Amino acid sequence: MPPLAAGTPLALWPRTAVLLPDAREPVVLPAGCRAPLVDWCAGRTHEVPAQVQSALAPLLDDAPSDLNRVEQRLALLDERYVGWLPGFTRSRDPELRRVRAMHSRRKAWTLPRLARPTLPSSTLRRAEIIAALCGKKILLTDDPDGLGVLLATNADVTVTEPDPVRHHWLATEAARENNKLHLTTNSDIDGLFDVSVIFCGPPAASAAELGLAIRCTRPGGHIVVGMRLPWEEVMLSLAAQAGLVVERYEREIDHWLVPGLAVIDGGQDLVVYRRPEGAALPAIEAGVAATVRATPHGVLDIDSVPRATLDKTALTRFATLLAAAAPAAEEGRSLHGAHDHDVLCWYDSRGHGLTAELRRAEEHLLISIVPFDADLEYLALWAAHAVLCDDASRVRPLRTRRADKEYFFA
Amino acid sequence: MPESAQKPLYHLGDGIVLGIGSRDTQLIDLKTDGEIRIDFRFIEPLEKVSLGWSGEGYESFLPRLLQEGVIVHGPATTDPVLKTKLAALDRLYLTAYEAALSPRARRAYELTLEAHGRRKRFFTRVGQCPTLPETTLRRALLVGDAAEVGAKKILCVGDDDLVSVPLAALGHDVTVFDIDDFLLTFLRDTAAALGLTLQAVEKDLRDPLDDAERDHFDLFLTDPMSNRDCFEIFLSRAFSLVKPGARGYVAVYGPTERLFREVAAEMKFPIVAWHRRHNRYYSQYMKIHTYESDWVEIRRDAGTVVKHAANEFCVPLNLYAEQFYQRHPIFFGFYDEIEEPRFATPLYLDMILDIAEGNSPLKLTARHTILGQEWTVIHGSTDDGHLTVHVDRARRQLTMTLFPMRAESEDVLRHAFMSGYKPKATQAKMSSSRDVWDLRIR
Ligand SMILES: C[S@@+](CC[C@H](N)C(=O)[O-])C[C@H]1O[C@@H](n2cnc3c(N)ncnc32)[C@H](O)[C@@H]1O
Repeated sequence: MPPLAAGTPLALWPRTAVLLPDAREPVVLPAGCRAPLVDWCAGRTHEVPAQVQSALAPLLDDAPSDLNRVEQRLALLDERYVGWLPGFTRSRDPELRRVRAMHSRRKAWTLPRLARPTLPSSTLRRAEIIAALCGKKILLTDDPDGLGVLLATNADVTVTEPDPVRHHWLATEAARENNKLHLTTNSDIDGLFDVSVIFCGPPAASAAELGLAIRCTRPGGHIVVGMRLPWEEVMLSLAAQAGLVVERYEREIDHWLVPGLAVIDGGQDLVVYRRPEGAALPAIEAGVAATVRATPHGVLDIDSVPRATLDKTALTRFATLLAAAAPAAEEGRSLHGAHDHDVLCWYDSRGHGLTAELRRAEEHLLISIVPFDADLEYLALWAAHAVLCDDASRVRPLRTRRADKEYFFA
Repeated sequence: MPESAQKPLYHLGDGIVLGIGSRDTQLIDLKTDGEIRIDFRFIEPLEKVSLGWSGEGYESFLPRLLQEGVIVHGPATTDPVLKTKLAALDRLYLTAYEAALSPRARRAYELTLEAHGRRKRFFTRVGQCPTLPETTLRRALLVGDAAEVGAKKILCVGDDDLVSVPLAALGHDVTVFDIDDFLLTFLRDTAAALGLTLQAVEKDLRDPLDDAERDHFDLFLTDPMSNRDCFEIFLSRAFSLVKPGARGYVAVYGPTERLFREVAAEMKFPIVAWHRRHNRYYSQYMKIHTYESDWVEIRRDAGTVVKHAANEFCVPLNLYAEQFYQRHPIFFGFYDEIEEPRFATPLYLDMILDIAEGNSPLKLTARHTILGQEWTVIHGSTDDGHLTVHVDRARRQLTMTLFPMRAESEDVLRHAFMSGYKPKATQAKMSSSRDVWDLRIR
């Protein structure tokens, strides 16, 4: 059998390992596979144990690991989504190749924390903006796509990364490039940085990120925030109350990637704040109820679902993948069909879940997540792409609704 | 002698725009967000005044319009309110690339913004919904600067986006075909005011083409409605008007990619590049539309066939309809800090749903309960959608999801939830967009 190598399409979700063959639907691997695969992907073991290898063997034959294929696919997606940005892709060809190569050497996908993996072009655009800021000591609180490695070419970069698989990937990439990248699993940072890069999440997480950034950024330095729906309200208001000053608002710079290499339409913004002397984090309402109150629900719309997957069995496969990937075990599900639509209602043991309605005539999938849960959002997007979508399917753009103070949609 | 030389001219005041829809027409004041419905008899004079006009035949109305600031003295110019608002919207996207623009591209942008800032009348009835000036510029930049790629004979098949302006500014020889004579006059006036040259020709694309026009242009750009009829007519005409081998750019709404590829296969034209999320649009309120589209580069090949012969009339059924799914709104009701969580158990929730079924058109064909320690989900399928009720007794929060939103059923459910769980509610907040209704009770 071919050895399991970097580039093998694997997802190591919180409770299971999933193989992502090129031409077929993902395969949930037997229960014992995850832990040894995590060890291997985290660099703790040099080889995948024989029993896992033999469980994988029949599946791997037609899922050859092909680094070039990953790079080609990413190049195609970069071209589709930012090929038109005046002066961008053509003048950055070597840099983009470098980021794509880094992506292709990733051994596995894991559940993102606050930031989402993005297209190589997004990573590069962010890196350019951050690198142009004053000061060479940079802190990143999350790094799912190698931004830290890029920045470390010319700066002294610290990344907090508790996920062992991403940690190992970043360390290996930095070592390859002889970069000064300090990786820590501990979010208890001390030291003063010129630039802190943070992300938004539910109110408590946003506040924790911002608090850390205010503490760790020198007055006059910069705090750079990845701003996403639906939490831009929370973060923009916290940052304004904290006295941060917007210096640059780069809209829709990030295009999210899901395993299987599909892009989610929409995009996350990048906001560059100056941290003034005397910035202070305001108090926020604490507790789970407050988190839910801030974002009780979320909606995903997927258009142009191909006719071949517009049925109950596809929705069942979607539920199977979701159940395998979710952070908590399935508590229950129901699947009903009517003449023109099928509905799945799925919940996990924490009471987090979603309702997904597949409408045949409209070729549409509507997913409502109640209460809103970003992990389930990401996993539902992945699962939908894996079993229900093709290249012409589109997620209705997930975009922030305002920049700084202005709402601009109507 | 033209009348303008004799009589004083008037134009719409700063921040005033005329929006002509398929159902009604309004004058919108962007400074105050005020709106006035306009009787159809006044559309024509208001269109004229939006281009700068003497008001001939309407003299008796002038003093009042002047007094209210709807019109002001002088020929039409760039409206500073529009220009400022559009420039602010553009900035959201321009920051990503303005550093890469050449001086000529920058000038093309300034002229495009100026042109958009002069347009005071919006005609949604024929599917007009313009792109942001910055998008208009990017379209022209994909064609290229004539100084680098050579001057091209370019055809704009419809041009409410005013892409002819940056194309002319970049040195190309530009012709616009459009059905809207107001737009054509506006383009001519604007080009003259900005020192540009372009040809604006009134043409209904459904009519046959003149022989002399065929195989003439080097390149075309078009933003049709994303439906089969409109794709077929606009592209058939465009392919007949350009030379063999010529490039074209077409706007396609993302979810209609499959349909567009079908049309491409049938008409046998190659798709050269697909630029996703290239086009951003704005409305007459100077806000960004949630709608956006892709920009697709195609080519007229030796084998390309048209669906409508150049010398024939086309009779489309659906020219201005959008052939994609406009989802019904989904309703979310969030009941926070519910007062009697011990009554938020499956037994009581089932009773509430029974009441709702008895008193509203809501009919659940199947009901299913998922039971957690502290929470319950009751889910039901309806003949046209679903209902999900989620309650967490520890957090004291209840959420109801109803798709599609049905006012009668929602009303009955809300009364039941309110009397059961929020008899002393102090806050209710409702927000709604086309897709989502969001009610929060606390
Ligand atoms: C079809 S509209 C749609 C564009 C718009 N930006 C959108 O996608 O929402 C584009 C242009 O075509 C013009 N147009 C509409 N019907 C036409 C026809 N039958 N012949 C010529 N031009 C037409 C309109 O006046 C407008 O300027």
